[in-house]
Order: sequence, then C-alpha cells, then structure tokens
Amino acid sequence: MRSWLSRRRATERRRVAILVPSLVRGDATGNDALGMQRALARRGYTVRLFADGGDPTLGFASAAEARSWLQDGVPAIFHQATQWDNGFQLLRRATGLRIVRDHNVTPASFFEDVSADFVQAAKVGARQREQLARDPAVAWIAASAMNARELAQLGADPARIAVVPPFNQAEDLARIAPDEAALRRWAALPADVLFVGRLAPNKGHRRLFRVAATYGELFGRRLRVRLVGSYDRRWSAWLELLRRDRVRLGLDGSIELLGTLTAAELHAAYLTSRLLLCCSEHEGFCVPLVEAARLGVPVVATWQAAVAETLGPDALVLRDASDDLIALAIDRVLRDAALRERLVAAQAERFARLHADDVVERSFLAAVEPLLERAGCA
Amino acid sequence: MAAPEVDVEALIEDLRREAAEMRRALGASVLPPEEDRAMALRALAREKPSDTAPAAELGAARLLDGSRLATLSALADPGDVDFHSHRASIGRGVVAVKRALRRLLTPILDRQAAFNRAAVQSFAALEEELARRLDVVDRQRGQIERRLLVAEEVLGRGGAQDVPVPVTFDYAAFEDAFRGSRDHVRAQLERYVVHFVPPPTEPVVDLGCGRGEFLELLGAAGVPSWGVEQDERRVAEARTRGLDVRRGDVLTALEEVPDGSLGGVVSFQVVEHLPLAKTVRLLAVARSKLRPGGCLIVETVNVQSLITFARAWSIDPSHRQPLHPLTLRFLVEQAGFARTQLVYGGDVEPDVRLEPAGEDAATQRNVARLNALLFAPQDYAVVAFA
Repeated sequence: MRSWLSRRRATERRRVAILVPSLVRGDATGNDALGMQRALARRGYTVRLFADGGDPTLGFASAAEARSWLQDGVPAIFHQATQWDNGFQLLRRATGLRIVRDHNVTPASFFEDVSADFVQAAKVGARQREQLARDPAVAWIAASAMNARELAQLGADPARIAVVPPFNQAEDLARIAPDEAALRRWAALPADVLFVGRLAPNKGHRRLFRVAATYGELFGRRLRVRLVGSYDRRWSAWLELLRRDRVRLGLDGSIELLGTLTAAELHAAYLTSRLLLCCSEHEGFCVPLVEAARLGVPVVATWQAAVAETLGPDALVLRDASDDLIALAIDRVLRDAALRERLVAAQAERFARLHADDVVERSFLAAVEPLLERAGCA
Repeated sequence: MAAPEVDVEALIEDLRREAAEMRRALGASVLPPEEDRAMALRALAREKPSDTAPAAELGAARLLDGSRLATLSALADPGDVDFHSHRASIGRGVVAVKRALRRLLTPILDRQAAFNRAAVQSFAALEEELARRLDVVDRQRGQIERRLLVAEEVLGRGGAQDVPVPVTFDYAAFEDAFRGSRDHVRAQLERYVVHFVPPPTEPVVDLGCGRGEFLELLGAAGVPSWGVEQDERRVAEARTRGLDVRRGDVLTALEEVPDGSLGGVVSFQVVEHLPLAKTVRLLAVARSKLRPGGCLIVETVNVQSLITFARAWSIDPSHRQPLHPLTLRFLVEQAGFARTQLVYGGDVEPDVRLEPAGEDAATQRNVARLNALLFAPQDYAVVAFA
C-alpha cells in the first residue's frame, strides 16, 4: 500500500503541462510542443499538452483543463507566439514553475493597413510577452539568441534565459516518402527558387518578387518560383497587393503558389527545387531554413538577425543586399555546382551539429531538467 | 567529417563587384518602381477589393486562425473566473461564499466546459476540413479551365458548337491542295526573318509550323529554332527534311517550355483556327516564355479585305475566329507585349482589281476606294516584343 502510494506521489510529482495556443503538426509551434512532449516523456515525465484548438488526433486537452494541473503546482511550459488571452491568464495563475518558450511575436507594424484584427492581436501579444518578461519568476527558453536579446531588453533576467532551437520536422520530412503525384508534377519543371512560409506581410514576398523580376532583367531568363504557405482571408488586401506586384513586374507565368502542403508534398517540393530563397523581414528562428539544410537544398537569404543566426557563418546570407546582388547570388548558386555542393555540405554539417532531433532534445533537456529538479519535479 | 569550407565573405564581395559591373553595363533598371506599401494598401482599401478573389487565386484557404479560436476557447470554460468583491467590509465573506458556490457548481460547470470545448474543437476540425477542400477546389478549377479550352477546341474544329461529335477530315491533304506550294509559302514568310537578325541565342518556336517552311528560312539565317505541329503527317514530312518538329498541341507545348527561355515565338495562320480564349492564353504564355526583348509574330487572315471572305476565309471550313487587326494587336498588348506593329502582306493579284472606266476624277477616286475595301492585303501580322 505504502509503495503504491509513493509511486503515485512520484508520478504526480513528475507531471509537466505544455500549453500551446493551437496544436497542429507541420506548424512551427506545434512541432516544437510535440518535440518537447516526446523528449520529456522519454525522461519519465508525465506530459500533457493543452491547447485551444488544432488537430484532435494529436490528443491534447483543452487549455481550460490545464487549470487544475496548474493550480496543483505542476510546472508549465507555455508557448508564446501571439496573443493568447486564455493561456496567458492560466499561466499567471499557475502556482508552480513557469517556463515560457519564446517564438517571438511578429511586430504589429507589419499588419498596419492590412488587418486591424492582426494589428490588435500583435500588440496584445507583444504586451503579454513584455509582462511575462518582467515577471522574475518566469524562466525562458528562447528559440534564438536574437529572441534572448529582446527578452533581456524587455526586462527578463539574462540568467534565466536559455537559447534552445525549436524541435523541427526536418528529419520527419526526410523519412516520409515524397508524394508521388506532386513529385511527378513538379519534377517535370523543377523550381529555380522555393520559399516556404505563410503569405504574411513579414515574410518578404514583395522583395522576392522584385528579385525574380530583376533576375529576368539581368539574365534574360525567368526564374521559376514556387511558394509554399498558408494565408488568411483577412489579409485580402495584402494578397491583392502581391497579385498586383506580380502583374506589374511581368511575373504572371513564373510564380506558382502551392498553398498549404502535406508533409509528403512538402518533401516533394524541396526535392524539386534548386534553391531556397528567404527574404523574410522578421523571424524568431525560421524553421524552413533547417528543413532545406536537412533535405539538401542550398539557401540564399537576406540578412535578418535570426535568419543569419539560424544559417550560421558559412551560409550565403546577404547583408545590405540590393535586388541585383540577390539575383546574382541566385544565378551563381544555380550555375556553380561546386558552390552548391559546398553550401549544402556546410548546411548539413550545421544541421547535424545544432538542429537534428537528438541535439535539440539534449539542449532542451539540459535547459529544462535543472529547473524541474529545483522545482521538486524530478 | 568537417564540411568543405565556403569563403562566404569573399564570395559575397565578388558578387557585389559583379553586380555593380553588370548594372553599369545594362544601365538603370527598367522595372516599374516599387509601390509604397502603405499608399498602395490604402488605395486598395478605397477600391474595396473582393474578399475572395485574390484568396481564391492564391490557392489555399484558411478561414480562422489560432488567435480567433483562442478567443472562442477563452470563453469555453464558464468556471474560469476571478472572485472579488468591491465591498470593503464584507468583501472577504462575499468572495468566500462565491468560492463555495463555485465548488458546489463545479460538476455542472465542468460538463458545460467539456461541451464548449468539444464545440470549439469541432469548429477547428471543420475549419481545417473546409480549408483542405477549398484547396482541392482551387486546384481543380485550374484543371477544369484547361480541359474546357481543349473541349472547346475539339468542338470548334467540327464547325457548329451544337454538334457533339467533332467532324474531322484530312487537313494535311486539304492544305496541300489550297495553301500553296512550299516555295510560295516560303516567299510569303520571308519578310519576317528580318526580325531575327542578328540571331538570338535562344531558340525561336514556330507554333503550328505545318511543313516547316519558316523553320527552313530560320535555319538558313542561322537562327536556332524548332516547331510544334499537331498533324502527324506534317511532323514526319518536316523531320525528313532534318527539321526539329515536335508533335502536339501548340499551347501545351509552349507551356512546357521554361520561362524566359525563348528568343522568339511565331505563329502563321493558326489563331483563326483557335477559340478566342485559347488565343488569349497562348499570348500570355508566349509572353512568359520569351526572354526580355524576344520577338512575337502572329499572322492571320486580314478580315478587312472583303475578297478574303470570298476566298481564303471561306475555303477553309476550320476557320472559326476572325480577328480584326486592331483586336489582335489589343490582345497582344494586353498580354504584356510592347512595341507592337501591324505588318500587312499577301497582296491581291493586280488583274483582279477594278479598273477605272474613263478619265473622270470622281470615278477614279471611287474605284480606288472600292479597291482598297475589296482587295486589301489578305494577311496581316502583329509583331511585338517581350
């Protein structure tokens, strides 16, 4: 009897709650939360995911159900990526250890004149992040050193911020067989340039369009561009602006929008692309960069703090880049097989060293387990 | 194993230098200036764009996002409330009573919360399913449009739209009988070769190249070229003369070519056989496949020449779409071509023309007018540049 009781107490002591606004496989936040769950479960913790929505097959409980766990003093890992009132309130009332995983919040300025809803959500999200940063009891896991710097500026104690890259689906993608129909369709005319990321105002699609047009002007050949990513109908003004840019720049036939893809289709899209171009203006980490690294697609990117950090010093990240320079870099990578090989090898080496599942898992546990132990959850 | 080193700094410096040199050599960019983001968005807001059109065009669909579901979900749990009282004296007691009530009501509130949660999750699942289906619909729409074009063409070749079975005949034999000898056709087309001198590096494609007369002229001028022809016999005939002719539909063949990879696109006496929608699409695709500055030539029957209706137009029952020169030029410009010009050819034989009777000046003027109306050149071409 006593042994049963002590086992039960031990199990209760080793509980961890992971709170995420929406849990979907394939989404950066969702993949990260699922990776954390796997890692902690392997270490013997009882981990439960709480979300307000998402893919019901992933077996999460509603965020409201987290209340009893959090009031019992169960440690919580809270994913901060946007406005999430429900999760924020739950976390503030939690009585146990509070760890916030920071994915960064897209600044409201990107949504000005695009969507009042999103401006508001981004502002509230930023305020919630700031309030948590000022709370000395909160421990942080930042997705990048750039995020960590921002958190410190907002008032978080640098000693309580660890930098751990997000769990990603790159290795899962490599394991999944590419979708055959998609592979056949796209392999017939491989993309010169691929970009993966939702069609949001911070993702640099307008810049990418100009670079594609500039490439045509400089080299007398059109780039075949494929774009993967979801969009929100509330951004119709933004989508209309992109459509207008595409027509004005004479890119009608050369830019293909693939929308949201399954993992198998995404694998096929990477396999049938010669290069990933990232002109994104704001990223907390930028997962597609590591997916490209794992799947052997060379990357050309414009300089943006987290992007440069994710890609590392051996990647083609262009600081203060003109459209001409980016177009030229693309051309060089497309034409120069030896350069392509060197870039792909450097990316693969960095991936294996920093972003592979087992490496991320080790650094995540190294950051989290001491906190859990100190909180009496070991 | 360590990865081979990439001297990125040196590479970027090298690229910067090369970019500056290239730009100096090419001159200032001719791309339209970037529209100011805020101004363009405000202008679009004033235009009140359709909420669905760009979205549908852009492929995928997502109606709600995490933040909206979060708001719904935040309301899902009726028990998730803070207890407080503004009465200073009995406040603590009031809060204690509220907490006790909350505890008593917990089983009911939990059931309500579970129901609300299930409802929110159902919304989320529905939203995902709807987005997925809209995605499929968007993709299928493109395929259906293509099939419609093909179907229209098949029906159109047979003549009347309401005849369900396409009427076919040996078009190659028909052309042999009425199009004229190869020498005659070559002489008619010779005037277009000048547009490819000096020869472009990229190939010129002749859409509906028939027996390949223009390909021969291009070959003689040192211009790389290939042709597309639907008629199997014509393809075989052209190949025996060493010409690169591929069998297939002109639009499909053109779509398969990489963008910006062609030095020229020509099409002689083809568009009058196509449905208008296909011609419009063909021009748009040609625009995207041509390198900047590449030349487009589209020749067809000149419907401004009345004798043409009595002769060339009526003799070929597969003619279906008369195109006025101004109409075709407009379509070409709409497809994004620049520097368009109309070139007329195929003069009517002089002995067919009316002769003025007598010396009367008015009669002579009237005869000249009638000649211009009845016997204008039988063909014209729109020449334009990408």
